[in-house]
Amino acid sequence: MFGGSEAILAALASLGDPTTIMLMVGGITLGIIIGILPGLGPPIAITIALPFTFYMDAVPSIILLLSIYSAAVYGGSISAIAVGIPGTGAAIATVIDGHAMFKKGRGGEALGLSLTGSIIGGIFSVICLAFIAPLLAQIAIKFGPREFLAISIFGLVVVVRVAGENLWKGLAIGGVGIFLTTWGLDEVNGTERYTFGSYHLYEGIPFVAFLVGVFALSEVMMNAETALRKVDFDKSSLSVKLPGMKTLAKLKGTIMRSSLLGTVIGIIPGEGAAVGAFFAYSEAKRRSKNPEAFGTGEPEGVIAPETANNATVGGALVPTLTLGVPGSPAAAVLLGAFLIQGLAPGPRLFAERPDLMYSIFIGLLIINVLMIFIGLIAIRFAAQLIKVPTSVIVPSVVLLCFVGVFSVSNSLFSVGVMIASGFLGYTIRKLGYSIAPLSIGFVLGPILELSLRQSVQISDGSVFEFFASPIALGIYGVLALTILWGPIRARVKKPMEGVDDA
Amino acid sequence: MLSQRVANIVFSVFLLAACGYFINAAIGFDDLSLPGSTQLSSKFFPITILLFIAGCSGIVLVQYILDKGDGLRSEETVFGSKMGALHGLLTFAVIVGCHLIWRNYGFVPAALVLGPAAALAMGVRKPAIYVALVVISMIIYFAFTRLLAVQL
Repeated sequence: MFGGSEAILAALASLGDPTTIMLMVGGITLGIIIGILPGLGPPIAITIALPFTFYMDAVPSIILLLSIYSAAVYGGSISAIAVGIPGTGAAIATVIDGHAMFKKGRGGEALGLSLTGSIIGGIFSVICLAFIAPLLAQIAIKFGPREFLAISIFGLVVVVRVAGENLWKGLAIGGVGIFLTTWGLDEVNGTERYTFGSYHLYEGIPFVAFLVGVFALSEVMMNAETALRKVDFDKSSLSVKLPGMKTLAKLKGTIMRSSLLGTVIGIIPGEGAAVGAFFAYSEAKRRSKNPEAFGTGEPEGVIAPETANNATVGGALVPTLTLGVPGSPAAAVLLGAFLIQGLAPGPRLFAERPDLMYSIFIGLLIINVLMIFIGLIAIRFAAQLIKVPTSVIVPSVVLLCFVGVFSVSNSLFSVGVMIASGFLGYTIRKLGYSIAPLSIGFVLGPILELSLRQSVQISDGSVFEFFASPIALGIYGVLALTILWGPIRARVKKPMEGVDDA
Repeated sequence: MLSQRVANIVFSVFLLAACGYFINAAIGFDDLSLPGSTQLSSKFFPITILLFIAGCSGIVLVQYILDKGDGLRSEETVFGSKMGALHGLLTFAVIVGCHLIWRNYGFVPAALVLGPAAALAMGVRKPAIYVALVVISMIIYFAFTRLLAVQL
C-alpha cells in the first residue's frame, strides 16, 4: 500500500472533476474514431493528443491519453469486423473470424462480442495493474544498475524474438534503435557524440519526434500507397447485439485465459496489443473442440483476441509505471507524455505521486465502463467513418503530426527528425523489418548504456559481478527460459508425435 | 519491380557502410573519462552496438545472397505496384517539400499546400477533396493557435 487513504481521496477528487470526466469522454470518443480509421493505431492517437496536454495538470492529461489508448485498441475491431480491414495492428487477429461473421449476417453479434471482450479484458488487466504495480514498485525501488541492465536486455531480446520473421533482421534494427540513442552529449562525462556540430543534437535525437515519425508518419506513407482503394460494405449489419449471460458463460474459459494471456504479454517490455491478440487467438484455437471452425466465423475467434488486446493495456502499464520501461509501442509514446509533464515513471513515482497512481488505476476502470456506452453509440456512426477516404486521412494526420511534434519543443528541427525517422520507418517496413525492435531499442537504449557503464564501475570491471544480484540473476534465468522454451518444447513434442503416429 | 532480395541486399550493404562510417567517427571521440578508473569510455558503447549491427547485417546479407533463411520473402516485391510506389514516394516528397515551405515561408502556406499536394501525389483528382483538405488544415491551424495557444 502506498500513499494511503489521502492519496485515494485526492485521486477521486481529481477524477470527479467535470473537466476530467469530459476529457475521458472526449478521449474515448477520439480513441474509437482513430481506432476505426484504418491504419491509425494507439501510438498515433496518443501522438495527436499530446499537444492538448501541455497546459493541463498531470492527472487530467494522463487520463485523457489513457482514454485514447484504451479506446483506440478497441476501435480497431469495428473496421476489422465491418470491412475486413483492421483499424489497428491489435485487430488483425479479429479480422479472421469477425469479418467472416459479418459476411454471414452476424455482424451485430461479432461487434457485441468484441465490445464485451474488450471491456472484460480491460477491467481484468486494470485490477492486475492495481495489485502488481505497487508490489513491483516496492521491489523496483531496490533496483540498481545491474537489475536495470538485466531488464533492458530482457525487454530487447523478447521484442526481437517475437517481432518479425527473421531474428537477424530484428537484432540489426533493434541495434539501430539503440545506436541512435548514443547521439548527443554523453550523460556520464559530457563527451560530444555524433552531434555533427549542431547544438540541436546536444540532447540527442528528440524522443517524441522520433517515435511519432517511426509509428505515425511511416504508417501514413504506407497508407498513401493504397489511397484509392474503395471500401464497400453492407451497413445493415452494423447494429450491436451484446452477448447474453448464457453466451458469456459458454465462453468464460476463453475470456479468462485471454484476459490473463493479454495481461502477461502486456507486462513483457515492448510487446503490444497485436502480439497479445495473436497469442490469445492461437490459444483459443488450440483448445477449441472444433478448431477447424476457426476462420469461418467462430465467436471464440472474435472474443479471444479482443479480450486479450485490451488486456495488454493494463499489462503494458506495469513496466511503464514501475520501471520506466514501456510495455508496448503506445506505452512508449505515453512515456514521452509523462516526461513532458515533468514526471519520470519509475518506482519513486509511487512514493512521490501516489494520487496520480490511484488516478490511473481508478481512471482506467471508469474508462472501461464508459467505453461500453460510448462504444455502442460509436458503432452507429462507424459506417460514415469507415467511408472517409484515405486521401483525406493521410494529409490530415501528417499535419497533426507536424503540429504535435513542433508544439512539444517549438523546433522545426524536431519536425525534420520526425520526417527522417518516418522515412526510416517506412523503408524498413517495406523491406520486411519490424518497427517494434527499432522503437523499443530507442526507448531502452539510454537505460541500457547507463546501467552497463554503472555496472562496470560498481563491479570494478568484472563481468561475473553482473550476476551477483539475485534479482538480476532471476531476470536472466527467465530470459534463458523464454529463449529455450520453444526449442525444448519442439524437442519434447517431436518424439511424442512419433508415438502418436505410431 | 524491385524485389525484396535486391532491396535487402542493398540495404544491408548500406547498413554495413554506415556502421563503418560511424565506427570511424566514434574512434575520434574525446575521451573524458577519469584516468585509472574502470569507467567505460564514451566510445565503447556506440562501437560495440555498431559492431553488433554490422554482424547482424552481415548475416542478413549472406542469407539474402544465398537465399536461405527464415522469413526472407525473396521472391516478393517491395511495392505492390508501380503506382503504389509512386504514390508513397511522392507523398514523402510532398511532406519534405512542406517542411521546407514551413521553414522558409511559415506554417500557413505549408498547411495550405500539404493537403491538396498530398492528395494529388496519391492520385486523387477530385477538387472536392482538395477543398475539404484545405478546410481541415485551417480548422487544425485555428484549433491549435487559438484554443491551445501554440505558436505556429
